[in-house]
Amino acid sequence: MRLLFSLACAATLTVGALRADDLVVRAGTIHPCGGEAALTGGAAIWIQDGKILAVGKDVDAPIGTPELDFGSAAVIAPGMVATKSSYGPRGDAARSAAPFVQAIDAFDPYGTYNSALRAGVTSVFLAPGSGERLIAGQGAVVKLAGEDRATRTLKGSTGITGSIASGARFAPGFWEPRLPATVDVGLGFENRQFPRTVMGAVVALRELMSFAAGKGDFSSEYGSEAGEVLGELIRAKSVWRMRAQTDEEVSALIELFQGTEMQLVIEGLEMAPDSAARLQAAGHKVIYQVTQPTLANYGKEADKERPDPTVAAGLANAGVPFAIQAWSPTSLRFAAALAMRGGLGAETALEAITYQAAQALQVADRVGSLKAGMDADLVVYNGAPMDVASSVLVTLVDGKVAYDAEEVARRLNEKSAMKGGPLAGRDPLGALPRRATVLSVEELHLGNGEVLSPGEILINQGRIVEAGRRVSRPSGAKVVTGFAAMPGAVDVLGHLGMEGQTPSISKSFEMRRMVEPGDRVDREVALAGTTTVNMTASNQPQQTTTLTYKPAGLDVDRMVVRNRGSLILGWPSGSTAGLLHKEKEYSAKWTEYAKKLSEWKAKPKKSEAEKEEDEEKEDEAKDEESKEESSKKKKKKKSKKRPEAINVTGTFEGELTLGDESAQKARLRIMESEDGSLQGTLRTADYPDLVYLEGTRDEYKIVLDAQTTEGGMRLGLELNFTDNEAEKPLLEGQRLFRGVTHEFSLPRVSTDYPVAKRPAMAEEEEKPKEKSGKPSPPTVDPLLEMLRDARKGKASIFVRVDRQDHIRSCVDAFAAAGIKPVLVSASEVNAVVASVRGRIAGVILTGSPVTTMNRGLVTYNRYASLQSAGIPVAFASFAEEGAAGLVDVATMAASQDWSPQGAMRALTSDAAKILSLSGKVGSLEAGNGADVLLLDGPPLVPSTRILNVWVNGREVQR
Amino acid sequence: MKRFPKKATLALSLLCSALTLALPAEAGEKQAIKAGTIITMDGDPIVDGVILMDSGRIVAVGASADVEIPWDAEVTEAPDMVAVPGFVEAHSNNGMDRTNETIDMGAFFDVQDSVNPVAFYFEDSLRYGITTINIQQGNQCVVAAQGAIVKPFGATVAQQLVRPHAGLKMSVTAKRGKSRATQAAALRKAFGDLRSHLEKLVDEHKKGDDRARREALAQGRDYDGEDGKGRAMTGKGWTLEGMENIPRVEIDEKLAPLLKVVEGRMAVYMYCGSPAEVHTALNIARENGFLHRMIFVLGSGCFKAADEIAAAKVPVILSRTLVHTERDPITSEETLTFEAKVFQDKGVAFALTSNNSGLESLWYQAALCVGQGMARKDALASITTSPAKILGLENRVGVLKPGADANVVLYTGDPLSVTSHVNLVFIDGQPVYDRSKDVRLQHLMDGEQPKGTAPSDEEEGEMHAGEGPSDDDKKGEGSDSKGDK
Repeated sequence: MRLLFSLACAATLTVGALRADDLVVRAGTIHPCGGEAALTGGAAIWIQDGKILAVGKDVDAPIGTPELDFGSAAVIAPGMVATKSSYGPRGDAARSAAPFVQAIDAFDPYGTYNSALRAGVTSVFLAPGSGERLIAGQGAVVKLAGEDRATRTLKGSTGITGSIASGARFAPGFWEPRLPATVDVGLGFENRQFPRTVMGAVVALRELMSFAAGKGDFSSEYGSEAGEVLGELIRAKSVWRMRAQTDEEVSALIELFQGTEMQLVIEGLEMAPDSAARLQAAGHKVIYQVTQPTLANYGKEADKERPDPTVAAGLANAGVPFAIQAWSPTSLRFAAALAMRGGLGAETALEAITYQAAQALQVADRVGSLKAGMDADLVVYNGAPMDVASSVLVTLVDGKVAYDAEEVARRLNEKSAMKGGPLAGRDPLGALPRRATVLSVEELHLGNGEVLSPGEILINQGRIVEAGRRVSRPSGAKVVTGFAAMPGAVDVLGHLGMEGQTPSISKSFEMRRMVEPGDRVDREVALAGTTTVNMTASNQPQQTTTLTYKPAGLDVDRMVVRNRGSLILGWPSGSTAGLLHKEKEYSAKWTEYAKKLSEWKAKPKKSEAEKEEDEEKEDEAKDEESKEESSKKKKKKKSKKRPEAINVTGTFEGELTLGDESAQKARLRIMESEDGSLQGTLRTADYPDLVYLEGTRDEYKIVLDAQTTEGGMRLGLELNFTDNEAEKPLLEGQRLFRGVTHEFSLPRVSTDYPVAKRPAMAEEEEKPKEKSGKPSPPTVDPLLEMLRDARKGKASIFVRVDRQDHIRSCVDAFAAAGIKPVLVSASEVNAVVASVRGRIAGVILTGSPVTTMNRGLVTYNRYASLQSAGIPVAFASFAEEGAAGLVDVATMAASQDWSPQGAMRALTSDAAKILSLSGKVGSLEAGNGADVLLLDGPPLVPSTRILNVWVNGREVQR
Repeated sequence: MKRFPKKATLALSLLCSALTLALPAEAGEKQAIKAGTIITMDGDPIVDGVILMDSGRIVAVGASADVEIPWDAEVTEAPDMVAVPGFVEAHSNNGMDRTNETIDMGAFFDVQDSVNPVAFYFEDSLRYGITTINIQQGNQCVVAAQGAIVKPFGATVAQQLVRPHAGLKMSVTAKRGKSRATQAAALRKAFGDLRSHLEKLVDEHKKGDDRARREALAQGRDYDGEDGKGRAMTGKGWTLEGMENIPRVEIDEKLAPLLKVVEGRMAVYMYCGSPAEVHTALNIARENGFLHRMIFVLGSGCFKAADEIAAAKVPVILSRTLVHTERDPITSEETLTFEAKVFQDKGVAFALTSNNSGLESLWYQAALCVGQGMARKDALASITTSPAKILGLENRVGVLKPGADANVVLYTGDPLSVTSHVNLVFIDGQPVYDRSKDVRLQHLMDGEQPKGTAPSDEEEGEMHAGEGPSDDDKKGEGSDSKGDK
């Protein structure tokens, strides 16, 4: 028994020391407010039972206490106190003095206050109405979150709330229906209510005070209750909170309350720039109302005043402590920042919306500052609280999370994955970071040679949204600080992703099928700084293409930057020359096709049918041989007798026969453009996503291609007609997908193409020459297509060439074809700089770019020299996981007669330029993919370490 | 099955033009119902049972073997039917000419003055098996009229009345033109006005001023009854010394009903549309001593304040919307809360209402509860015994037991099934509704022209015989309704 007892004791002790509801919150900076100086360089708050137990550089919480560490960039400040809100009752009392109206009656503890909590406001004042009455009633102060109504009610009654401002001087007439409303009695009429002017308001308040004190009966003016309730409130030494907007109104209030025992809080002062000294002398509490920026007309008369945001600065200079209130709790921080105009300090502004606001509402003993014993209502920001670019990460009320930006982002992600939003299906891991990230560094190297110091980039949904010295911090943005940031390096030619000496691969092979997300080696390369690789087989045949991809991308779709990234050719080489020649013919074909197509007009349907009929008759006349033969011919005729190959735009719905003979629904939508190209979508049951197809047609033959996350898809279809009627077209054929062939049969159900406008069917005559009427496009050759693209600057052609004379002839040949090649290897290019400048897209050297000359007395950096001559250069690894060394190689190159900035360009923006990928990778510009390296020192300096790497906006995990 | 006289008096047929029902006086005093099943709501259902009724009261309920039917009783044979107590509508604004008054303080109004005995609502109630209705003023009020509990049968309000002055309607939810705070202030003001009025009376009496007495006499108020004398004020909220000297008749008639409320002698039906207002309502009830006599008439969503309601032990009348829907702000996912279950789990007495809706009549609401997983017994109780208890009529209505009012509904089957319907209704031991003679229903179902609705009475016979618009109706709708049957 004894033993058991002691064991139980021990258990209790442990529980006592380590309490489940204890919490330690850490951040880089804590603003305790209430006159206390900010704690910087890391500080903590210990919370127990919803109360603050300790605040300091560190706290003595027992080991094992749950901790929330928001990092060094985060700032904690007290939950803001809004001295104005719309959460109280809506609508005013009928009487101009209604002290009996209690705002707390309208408190809805079951309501949601997300927008305010998200803005960092944890406590609000509930006004007894819209504030447009001389005495509107009694206000209240409540917390916006929490379980228990009683603890959430900070102040059931803050005393008398009223106004002598213009709004309150126009109370509507008061009318009470008489009962019974007979002819004798009448319905009564509206009694005009006092006051109309400031002096009227002063008189009315004096009358009410006398009425409350039992001197004089003003029940007919203000109602019998007013005096009674006001008397009780005054006897209980209630605080008066009175609104006054102008200097006159402020003076009137000060004079009215002079010599009385009554406490006064003056609220408003929007148009009272000259009252600071008087207020200082009177010693009343002040709440300054910041006016919402509007385009309102305040009037042109000389005495018309506009709200002045510098009033707050004037108050601060005069030594008047004041709170700041906004038009709405959600704008409180913005309003305080606006009030800083005129020289108000950030510390004072923050105090004005926390501690001073709590003071003005008589709740400073519980909220408004972070001190031991206070309620644990605090806000974690991702930057300085008074910097409106920062936003709220977490709001705690009574030590419990009332708003969590990360949680909201996570749930939003879940929702879009669930609801078939833009990310549905493609983001099964919920990995697309909805939550914005801000990288804030001392040196931001954009990659194109520009350096911003300090600099920041805002990353959202995988892209760089903003880059500059200072960027916005959207709600819940995570801020990461560091010394420097630069774009991820681009390996312009490497073999990462290939396995050893991979035999050469066919030029028609889809290389994107080789990459696989989540590969450990790929990730390591990315973590070493190389985030984009232009990959090809190490054993290259004469003509080969590359795949440009991001090794640490999350899925194939986002890994692949460009399938067929560049075409690698050799020089001198007959095949390359031949290819250039072929390209000329090929391009000519396309030009001709384009020309034909522009001239082509669809033939009218009727004439075609008539013609066929005639032909048939002729044929029948001719065929007077054996019955068998004739029937055969007829059959042939029949099959030939198809309606004209009509425009296939429309929706086709039918079935897809799967391998196991089961059929599944399929819907194909096609739009045929006037140039004969087809585009459309396919929805099938066996693939979760909509497939976007593109293709061409040759009369009845239609070929559509698509890329899916599971590889390519090809539809080979034939246009048929049910009952040989042109109105009932049918697409039949096969689908090749995942290496399996499936049969299709899809009748057209509609001629609508829901996304785009259906091209109008031309009804004019066509050239008699072609039967179908439509010119057919030339066959697409992928390699020649790349050459064509290169001419337009949409693809890059790498040419392996070495000797100077070869370089010359190569550049000449390509210039003739209108293409700027990228010279690979090109060891003698430095000798012919003058003749190639402006005619090539760049140079990629093999081996060290630095050569030693004159027996080691002189070093010569070939890259530096080319770059200074205006020729873009880039680093290529020619290796697999060796790409991980790319940044270090560049660092070394930069140290030898070159500059880190020059090497940076070669490593990032120029590399992207060489790959014709500017605007996608290689620089930290808005719109680019967010591939960023965070460094602990200046970039391309040997002592600098890469701390974190983001690829497509997502941090690569080690 | 027994047939009762078809003939109706001219007066009644004029009053209830479509309702050709028997006058109670024409049926015998003693009635017996032999039903296949009797759901008594007072113990287990009885199979093959007999309900014996005499002079409007139930005399005996039991198995047919146990109950001897007197020789002179009229017997209704219903071997295939289910007998249930008539349902009790705990709160309704129907049957009045208008539901709301404009003025804030209307305690002196009486719903009786507004009830229209020939309103179709009452006829409909019979069709849905409702035999007791608590008519209260609408929710757009501060302090509203005194309600009346009626049965949906009778040519005059006096005949319909079950209990007059049955509670006072109030609302803590802002009426039009008021905010939540000014509404609460107006409610408090009503009691404040009563108090200052009483203080003034006591004060005047002390000074020997007989103004109130002279006024009362001038208005011809009755000094003979109980209220002619003074009586010490009782009450759990506040009391006033000196009230024993003030004859109650001298109190302002506009405020007198409120005094009954403060003394706990009158129930209060407090409308509360949102959970945020529950706290204020309870506070006002506590301050003025009527918490134990308060019944909440709730809006949808008030289950959120169920803890506070349970702690205060206030019974509730639920809104028509039994399932509260809330959307997640991010995912838009709907959270459905079956409110009755929340109250049931917290031990709050609750009743269902149809909230003036015929489509969602009481049986349907109860069936919905069963669909949401409530026990059949409890679901039936929430439209019979539970509202009866809330109305203080637990020994009279909502139950089939000796001594209770003989309000019996004969269903063709399970009362909570869509396939069964009310076939016969007895109120106070008299058959008041027979589906086979429900002309309005027949018109709907068969397209038959109801009597008295033809263009002229003379042509009535011809109309049925052949031509005229009614014949077209017949042809057009006949086949459909047969399918329905």
